[in-house]
Parts: sequence; C-alpha cells; structure tokens
Amino acid sequence: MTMQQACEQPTLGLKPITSVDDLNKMRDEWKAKLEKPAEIRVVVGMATCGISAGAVQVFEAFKSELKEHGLDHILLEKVGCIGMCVYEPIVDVFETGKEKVSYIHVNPEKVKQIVEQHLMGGKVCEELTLLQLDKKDDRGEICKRFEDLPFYRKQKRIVLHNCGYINPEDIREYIGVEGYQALAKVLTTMTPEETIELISASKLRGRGGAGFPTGMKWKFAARETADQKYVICNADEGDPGAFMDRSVLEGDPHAVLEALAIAGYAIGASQGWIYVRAEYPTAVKRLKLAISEAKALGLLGEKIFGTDFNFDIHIRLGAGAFVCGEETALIASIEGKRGMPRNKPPFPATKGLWGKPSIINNVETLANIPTIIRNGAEWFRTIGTEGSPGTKVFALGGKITNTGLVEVPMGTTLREVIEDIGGGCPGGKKFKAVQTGGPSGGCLTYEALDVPIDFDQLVALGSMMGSGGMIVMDEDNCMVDIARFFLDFTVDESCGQCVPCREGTKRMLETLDKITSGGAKEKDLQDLYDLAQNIKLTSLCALGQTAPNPVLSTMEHFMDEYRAHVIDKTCPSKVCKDLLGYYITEQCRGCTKCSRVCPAKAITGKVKEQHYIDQSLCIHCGACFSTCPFHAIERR
Amino acid sequence: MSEETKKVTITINNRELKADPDETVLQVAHRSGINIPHLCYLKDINEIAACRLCVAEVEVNGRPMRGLTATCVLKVQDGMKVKTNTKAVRKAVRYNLELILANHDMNCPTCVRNGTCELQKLADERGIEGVRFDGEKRPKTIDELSPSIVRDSSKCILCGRCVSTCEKVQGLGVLAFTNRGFNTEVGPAFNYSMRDVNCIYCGQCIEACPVAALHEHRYIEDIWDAIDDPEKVVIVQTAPAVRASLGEEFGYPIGTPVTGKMTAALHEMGFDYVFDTNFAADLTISEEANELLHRVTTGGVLPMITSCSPGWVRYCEMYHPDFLPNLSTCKSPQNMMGAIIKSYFAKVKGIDPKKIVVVSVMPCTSKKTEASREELEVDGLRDVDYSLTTRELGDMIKQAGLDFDQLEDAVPDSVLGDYTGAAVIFGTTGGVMEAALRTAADVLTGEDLPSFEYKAVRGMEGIKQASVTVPIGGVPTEVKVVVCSTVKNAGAVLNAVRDGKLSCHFIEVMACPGGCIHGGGQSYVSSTERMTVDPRPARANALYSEDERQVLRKSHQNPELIELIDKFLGAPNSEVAHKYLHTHYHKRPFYVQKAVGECEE
Amino acid sequence: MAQTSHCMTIADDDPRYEELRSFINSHENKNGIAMTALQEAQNLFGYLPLEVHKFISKETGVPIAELYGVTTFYSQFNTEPRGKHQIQICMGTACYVKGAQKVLDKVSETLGVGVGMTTPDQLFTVNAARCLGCCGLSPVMMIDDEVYANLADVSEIPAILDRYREKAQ
Repeated sequence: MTMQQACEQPTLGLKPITSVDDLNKMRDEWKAKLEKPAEIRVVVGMATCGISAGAVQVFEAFKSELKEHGLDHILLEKVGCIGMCVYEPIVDVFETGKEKVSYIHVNPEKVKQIVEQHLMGGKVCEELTLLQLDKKDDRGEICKRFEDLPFYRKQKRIVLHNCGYINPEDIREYIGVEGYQALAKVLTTMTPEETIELISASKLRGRGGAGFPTGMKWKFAARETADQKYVICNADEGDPGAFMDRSVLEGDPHAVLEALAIAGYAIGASQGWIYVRAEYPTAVKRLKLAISEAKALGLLGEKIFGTDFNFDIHIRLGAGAFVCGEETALIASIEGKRGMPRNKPPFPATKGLWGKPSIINNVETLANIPTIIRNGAEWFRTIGTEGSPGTKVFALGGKITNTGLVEVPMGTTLREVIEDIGGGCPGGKKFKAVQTGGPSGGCLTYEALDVPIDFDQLVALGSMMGSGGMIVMDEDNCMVDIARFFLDFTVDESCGQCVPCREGTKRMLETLDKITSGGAKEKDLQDLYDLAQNIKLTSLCALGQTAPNPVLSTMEHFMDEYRAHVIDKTCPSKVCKDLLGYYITEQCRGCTKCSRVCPAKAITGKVKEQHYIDQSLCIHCGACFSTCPFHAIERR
Repeated sequence: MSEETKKVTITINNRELKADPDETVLQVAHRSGINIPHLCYLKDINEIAACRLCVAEVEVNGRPMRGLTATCVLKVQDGMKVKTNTKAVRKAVRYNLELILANHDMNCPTCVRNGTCELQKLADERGIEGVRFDGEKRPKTIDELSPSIVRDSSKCILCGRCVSTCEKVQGLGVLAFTNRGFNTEVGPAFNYSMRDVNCIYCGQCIEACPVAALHEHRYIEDIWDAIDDPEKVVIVQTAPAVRASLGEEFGYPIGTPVTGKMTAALHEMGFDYVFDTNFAADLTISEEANELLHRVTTGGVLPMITSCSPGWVRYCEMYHPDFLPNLSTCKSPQNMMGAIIKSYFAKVKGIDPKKIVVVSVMPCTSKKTEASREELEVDGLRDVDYSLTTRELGDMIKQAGLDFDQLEDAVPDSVLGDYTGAAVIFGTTGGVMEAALRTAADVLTGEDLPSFEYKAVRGMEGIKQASVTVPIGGVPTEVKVVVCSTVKNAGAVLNAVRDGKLSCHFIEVMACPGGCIHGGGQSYVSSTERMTVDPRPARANALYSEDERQVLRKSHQNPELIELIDKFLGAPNSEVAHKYLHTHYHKRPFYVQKAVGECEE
Repeated sequence: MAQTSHCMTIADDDPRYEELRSFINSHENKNGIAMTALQEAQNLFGYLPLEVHKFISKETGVPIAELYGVTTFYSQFNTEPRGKHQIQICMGTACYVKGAQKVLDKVSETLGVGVGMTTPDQLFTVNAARCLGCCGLSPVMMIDDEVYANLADVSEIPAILDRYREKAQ
C-alpha cells in the first residue's frame, strides 16, 4: 500500500461552466445521484488515517471483487475521513430507501464477505458493522450507526460536513452538495464590500490560532491599493497531534478553493496560494487534482461565471518547519527563503507576500466561508457562543478512548468533549489534564472541565485554541515531562532568529532537563518562571511569545509535581527515569530473566532465589521491568 | 499642506517629540538624545528586529501593544507613547543581553574587539555583572585559512548584519544563516572556509560585525618580529585612504586627515623607511593612462577597467571572466610600490632586496589576499610581504606606546616619497578616474591644462557616468567614462556593457561602497554612529582637501616619478615597466570540489 | 577547522541535471523558485550535495550559501545520502503520551544509530517525525510508506526491522 496509489487522475472532459445556470444544472444532476443513487453506492474512507490502516487494499479488493462478479453498476468511491480513526478502515454502503450501513475494521477478506453477502445477497453483514462492538448509547440502546454513537451525537458538522460523504476527487460531487454556489452568489449578486460585510457580520474568527476576526483581516487588505494582492491558505498544520486541516484537504478540497476565490474577490486579489505540508502527500495530490478540475470547469481561471473576475491558485509545499505556520514565516517560505518570521507591524494585510497586501487564512477558517455565504451571517451566529460563533474541530488524542476528529459548536464544555464524545480515559485511569493549543497552548485541569470552550475562555484559562489539538493526559503522565516534551519541540522548531526564542527556550529546556533528572535546586524554579515570562514578553513572533505557555501553565496547575522533582527528587507519575529506582519484590521466583536482559549487569541472584538490583549500577532503562514474567519488579 | 502638519507627535519617556511619519521610534529617540540599546540593527541594511534589545513599552491610540515592542522597526504614529526606561524594559534588556552572553565566548580582554565591541559596551552600560545561564554553547569554528578574513563562530551573536551587508551591498551572499534554532550559524555553505568561497574579502562584513565574529587576519606580531630582526630592512607604505580614517582610532572626528602624524608614528615605530603608496598611485596613473591611450589608438579591448581594487578583480575573475581582457594589466599601487621598492629603490640604496620586508597599510582586507597572489612577485621576490589594515596600524601605534596626539607631523622618506594631489584622491570613488583624466588630458593636448577637477565623477552615488572631449590624434573625441563602487553595481554595469546597453571607454571600479575610504580595513563606525553619520563623505573630504593643499596635482608631474621613469623604467609601458608593474588575471572557480582521487575513505 | 570533504558522487553530465534545469525553466516566474528547486532536486537525486547547490545557484542566481541556508533550515532536506528505507517514528503529542519515546529508543537500540543517522549498511535512516497524522493509531512508526500502528509493545519492533533486512539479502 502506498500513499501514491490513493489518488487517480480524472478523465472528465466536461464542458466548462460559464453561468450560474450551468452550475445549477450540474448540481441538480449530482445531488440526485448522491442522495438517491439508482444503484448501490459503496464508499471507502481514504484519508491518511484510513490509508494507514489499510484502506487502499480494501478499495482494491472491492474493485476486483466487483469486477469478478460483474457488478459494474455498483458505484465504488473513495471519500475523506469521517473522523473515527479507531475504526478504520471504514466502508459505508448507501442504498436508496435503506439506511446507510457502516462497516468497520474492514480488510480484504471481509470485503469478499460484504460483496457476496450484502451487495449480492442483500443481507447486511451485521457482525462486521458497529454492532460487533456492542456499544450502547446514553439511553441504553445498542448503537447501529455512527450517528447513534455519543461520539457523533454531540457533534455539529459544518466544516467536516462533506468529509466522508463526497468523493474529493470528483468536482461534480462537490457541486452536487451546493459546491461553488457561494462563489456564484458573491460574483453575480454581491459587491466585494458586501462580501466582507457578510463575513464580518458572521463574526467568524480565524481557526488557526489566536482567533482574529476574519472579516476585519479582509477589510484591512481590501482598503489597500496595489497592483497585485494575494490570498493565502495556511495549510501548514504543524501542531503535533492536530490533523483537522489535513482531513478537510483530503476530504473536501474544493471548499478551500472556493473560499480562496471568494476571499480573492473580496479583497481584490487575482492570485491565491496554498502553502501545504509536504508530509501530507494525499492532501497535496487531491488539492492539485481539485485545482485542475476547477480550472477545467472554468471555476478558476479567467472570467469566472462570465464575470470580470479572474482567479488562479498555486501550491507551495512546506519542507518541515513548524514555524512556517506563523504567517510571516509562511510568506518568507513561499518566497523560497528560510521560514523566518518578520516583525509585525507591518502586517501582511499591508505588506505581505512579495511586499504586496496579502491575507492568510487557515484551512478550517476557509472551509467555513462557503457555508456562511450560502446560509447567511445570522445563521452562523446561531451556532456557538456570542463571542465565538460557529463550530471548532478538535483532534482528540492521547489517553482517550475515542481518538479522532470531532467538530462541536463553540461553547461546548471540555467535559462533553472528553467524557461524552471522547469516552474518557481508557483503562479506568484518572483524568489529569488536557492540553489544548499544542506547543503554544497550555494545559487545563479538572476544574476547567465545565467551562464552555471558545477563544476567549481558553485564553482566560491560560491556554489557547491553537489549531485545535486536544491531548488528554491521565495519571500516568508526568506534567513536567509533558512540559519538557513541548519545550523540546519548540527548541527544535525555533527559527533561530530572535534572541529570547533561540537562546531562551534552550535554557528553559536545560532547566527542565535538570528538573527531570534530579539535578535542580529550588531557585531554578523561580529562574525558569522569570525566563519564561521574558520570552513571552520579548519574542519576535507568536511561536516564541507562546513557547513558554506549556511550562507556565503546568507550573500554575502542577507546582506540586515540579516541587516533587526538585525537592523530593521523585517523579510522582513514575515517568522520569532518572528519578526512578527499580526494586525486586518478594514475588521474584529467581528465573534469572532480568539479570540476563540487564545491560548494566546490575542484577545479581541465584537461580530460584530472589534477585537484587545494585542501585549504583542501575541505569534505569526498565528492561528488567518489562521482561519480568511475574511482575516482581517495581518502580518507585 | 505645510511641512509642520505632516509631522506626527509622539511621546518618549514623557518627552513630546515631533517626528516624520516614516521615521522609526529608534531613530527619533536617538536624535533626541535618548539611547535605546540595539545590536542587530544597522541603518538601511539590517532591520530584522532579532536581538530584542531595543524593546520598549508602547501605547497606540491609548491601547498598549502586546508584550514589549522592538523600536528599530516601529514606525511612529501620531499620539504614540513609548517608555524605554521602565522596570519591565530594563529587566527584559538585561535578560536578553545575558542570553546573548551565555552563548558568547566571553574572553573580552584577549579579544581583537576589546574596546570596540558593541556587545561589550552594552554589557558595561547595563551593568551585567554575571550571566545566570551556563548551558551548552554553539560548536566553535575558527576559520583562519583566508589571509584576509577570520570567522570565529564562538564570538558570533547571530545578529545577521554581515549576512545583510554581503547581500545588500555586494549582492554576493557569501554568508548566510545556516541550520535552525539553537544550532543556527552564520557562514558559507557546507562549512567551507572563507578562503575557498565566492568572497571578495572586501571586509564590509567586518565593518558591520558588532563583535569579533568576523575580523581581519592579523599580522601585527609578524611585523614586530621583522622590525626587531636586525637583518631585515622593513619598509612600510600607507595607502591614500588610511590617513582619512586612522585618526578615528585615536578619538579624532571621522574625516580628520592625519597624514603627518601617521608618518611620524611609522618612523618612531622602527620602520627603516616610510613611504606613501601615493607615489605608486601616481605611477599607476602614468602606466594606466598610457595603457588606455594605447588601447584607444590601437583598437585594443575597450572599455578598459581599473584593476587597483583586489576585491573587484577577484569578483571579475569569479563572475565575469569574459571581461578579464578589459582589466588594465597594471598592478595595483600596493604591488607597484612593493615591486619598485625591491628593485629600483634597493638598487639606488644598495640594499639586498632579499632582506627587504615590504609592509603595506591599507584601508582594505582584500589587499591581504592580493599580496598573496602567486603571480605578484618578480624574480622570486614577493611584491608585498605583509598587508595591514588601518585598524592594525592603530593598534601597533598604541602598542608602541606612542601618544598619537603629541606626534609632530613628518614626511615620507625620499626617492619614493613624493606624491601629487591626484594620488591622494585615489582613496575615494571617482578618484582614480579623475587622476587618470588629469593626466590623459594633459598628455593628449600637450599642455598643462588649468582646469583639471572633474566633479562629475565625485560623490557617493554607486554608478556615475561622465564624458570629456579630448583631442585624440588631433581629432576632438568624446571619451565616455563610468565610475562605480561596490561589485553589485559593477556587475550591473558589466551586464549593461555586455548587453550593448552601455558603451564607454573607461570604467573605474572600487569594490567598497564609496571606495577605499569606506574599505573593510578602516576604523570601526558603530551602528549607533551610523544612525547619524555617513563616514564616507567626511573621509572623502579629507582626501579632496589634501589634494587641494598640494602644489602638484597631476600624477605625471611627480618629480620622483619622473626620475624613476628616467632612470629605471625608460618610459611608461616599457618592457621594464611590464616586468615590474603589470600582471595578468585568470578565471577563478569557487567552492571547488576535491578531486575524486582525494576522496578515498 | 572542519571542512567536510564532498566527494563527487554525481557526475557532471548526469541526465538528472537536465531534468532539473527544465523543471526550473518551466516556471515562468522565477520569484521564490529556490526552495521548490531544492525540493525537486532532492526528488531527483535523493539528497542535496554541494554540486547540486552549485547547479541550482547557477540556474536561479540565488547564492550558494543562501541555498544552503534554506536546505539546512527545513528538516526534510538532507545533504548526505540516506538509507534505502526511511523509518519515521512519529513524535507527535498523541504518540508521545502513548509511548513514542520508547518506540524511538527501541529502534535506535536495535539498529545502533540515533535520530537523523543512517545505518552503516545504508539500509535504514532513522527519523523522528512531528506528526504523521495517524493519531488514532498511536504510537505509530512508518517505514517508507508502510505504517506500523499501535506499537506500545515495543518488543515487536526488532522483528519488523528484520523483515526489511531479510528482503535486502
């Protein structure tokens, strides 16, 4: 299986769309095909997570099975991610007049059974559906469909609406779900000013980090006069643990293209750029395909819908630098340079790409635009909170039962997300904290669980929305170690330009190393705090300004853990191995396994007698611990 | 709208100040007598806001800006309120200074920049008494392979001034930021030595460097050793531009000419003979003007281009080898002087030329590499043995225990000691051209023309064009000349010539902006000083004023030069002249790979 | 000083240079082409030695040092040849909290090389990846395009690596 196989070139040969009528005709045709397929429609979830779990083999198996049985009439399609990573590969079967059937953990053998029993025999393979999990919803009823699961019931899908439903490699299916209607609407019935007014009225805020009002950003760029302006899509999602942008690009790429064109019209730009991580090969391929399809249909290019509006989109690949998610670094990178941020002001809206007025919106922000244009600002404001309308997609990960992508209205509480949707920590472990906002954010504890989450609330709690990574930690995670992990990340990803970030984060990391290895003194805690404040206060860009957040917020909520490391020289969660001792208990049967795996030859003992670890020789590698068949070794 | 209404009013530390809307807060503060510390900022060249020392608390429209704001790139706005001396600001500056120092090789007393280091000065001003971080430091790379430039990464503070200077001034991009984050370094690609890359050794990076991360390869001890050696006859020559800057080493205002004191100091230091490279400048004109006339009258390769700037010559060899036939074959004055000292002068004085050590003091770091060029020797004797910078000379004078201020003016030694005003102006952009025109016009007309100042080629513009009408073969002919400084501008001129967009007879190129007066070997001008002073016009004026004070102002009128031609060379461009005073050039690759055979592992 | 010796491993007349030239020339607007050209060069040559930098510099006018600055800024570029198989160990947060460090340690221990290094037999290069986007399957490791999921039990790792060794023999 390879990522390359996941995409195919289209052979469309369609007539260009030159009017809204053309668009509507195609929409009506494909709407019908999607909603009431004449024949059975089988879709395989083929975003990266699905592919990783084996979706390509599943797709190929369907192809050959269908061919073998002469089932040419059955429509086999790939779709994007539906968000339930743990159940991949997932296959949905649509049949007019019947309920959708979802198969989980599908593999080529199961494909054979599904084709023969369900598609040919008309009998659903119930043991391959959700039923195999024997899950009950909150009313105690067995969940048959994804939609029954608590995981889905609390969600509201605007951004991810089309993901997992339409084939991202066929523009006609996007048109069938009202695609490009918003662009048609602004180009043929609205002025650029009205477009910006509508977005401003919706109070949409940027989903990429700090939540800056999108309409205001557009307005700043629109009022500049220049021979060229640019709209840029920031698809350099780099937060470790966040992958909503990838999911949108893989599952609904045209939504982003349509939004870019709308933004271009609004600010007076004829050029769009998408800066996308090269680590997302599937997303890149689908974007390229989408652009070529849109160009072929005349939805990008010159005189779109017969108006005077021209718009073209280019793709630039990132090459592995987290800082390029920062808008000015991203601009430098598009310009082919080292991704080093520039001081703001001037903001990109006045001086951006190649010195021209530019706006940068992230993928999730853009994915909201077409829906807002179609449904109106008021509709959007009915969702979410007053200050932060709409939904937010979170990538739920870490110590949580249901990992995956969830989209909830702003104002949903953390408890609903973590407990109801996420199913809590697995293995009955105790929830300790949740980290939001990735390396720029902070951690929230039990006390914050009932706070409705939106941009402002998270900031008030000392964290931030960031791009929407939400990593759950349980009692087994050491918060000092987690802070160290994030610092290690920022040290590695600092561009190296400004002093506080380049030098300061390194010194913070060194202090954290001292703390987790037992070499720190009490004064180090105060120094660490002061240094963190200085970096926050004086760094050039948002990466540096937010880099200390994981440390500051863990220091605020888990000072006891820091003090345990520094004063008692212990790691309460038993993670920091320099602070752990391994001891052999009376459970030892003297099997000698531990002494054989010990690389430091620290374990002695006679056969069938209790063994002993020489603490002065022990290097805390834990090899004995994981080898012992009798659980006779404990860490303390 | 009047000028006054265009101004905005800002408040810095409770002082109301008027400012132009395109000024930065740092500029306004500086000219109003409020010092804001800064290290990465270099006016018009490096404005990247990276050192975070110029931060302040800023309020716009009554709302405080987030965090502390870098003032070096902050444009003023009406009603802006800035505070540069609050507890938060002082603390932040101290923290960031300490962070810089924690990754800096702090051997200040033994550092070449001790006393001129901008970081040291700030640490002193801010009362840094200790650095609270003692972790890892960047790996140390000391590249001393080039005779001109030493790169010491353990001193580097990654301010990027050198990177911007090389890119913006010279368009070369020899140095770049490499790696990322804490591992960031400044250097050539693949850690290549400065010796082996596309560097022209102009030393503008050294001038820009606030610390000792880039400095000239120093030869002071070698000179003292030679002076102390009774067997050696050590002869020093000083370039025209040195006199315009050396005074700065001793606290004189920029542009104070100190020719007499400099000569006195050199005598006192123990040099056996003290000459002025100006003599060779006159000699160069004599050779070069005649070479030009020869080319013009015999249909030789035109335009002819000057070759006295070694940075320029190296650039031409690396980037425009198709123009090598256009380069004047004349050696530079430094090397002409050396060659004449070891031949004519040695003969006149009866000194064994093998015992002679020629030391040159140059405003230049590229001269060090030029002195080491293989072909610049005659009969196995190097033209020049050591080349020093103005700064090194300043240090040597201090080491000799001389109170510069009290020195009585002295004159160079005889035989090669005379010089004309035309030679003095060699040190500034347009000077070589003007000197050449003074001589060429006289030679062609056969008169001592009373009007000989060519003001069109003066001034600090990067590219200047002029034309003069002179009789060639009795026919009044328009001679078109171009003068440019920096190789970036030279490259543009050559491209225009190659594309047929520009035609001319003679081009003067100096590699440094403004010519030798702003060479990479001149006294340091700190970034703070550069905010209000452009050292170039001041230093150029020092030269033009000395020119005006001279009785003889045309090279061909130099009496000792006439004697040299008479007694030794025979005539300009003679066979003897070619042996001692002319050279050749060759294409010069850079970043050259090692041969396959050298790569066995 | 340390000056890396760079052996001529790519011939001057290597046809891939021609491909790279036409790629660069296919861009009407050369603005900002440097990084894209480096990406294409790495696709073609597998790595970016000095001679490739020199070639791109000549074609684009971007100084060699500046190109090298770009190369060493982005973690996806490499200046040395890499192993036949690329091991990417996901060190994203989701994987980290579920034991990615142990996966990395195990791989390093088994192969005897650390992150960013290539085994002496040129078979594997070990990389730490930021996030492979398979958070649901954490901890995750990728060898070339193949994903190995749920590796919390690191004892499976030596056997996985052995399979590639066997294939190579």
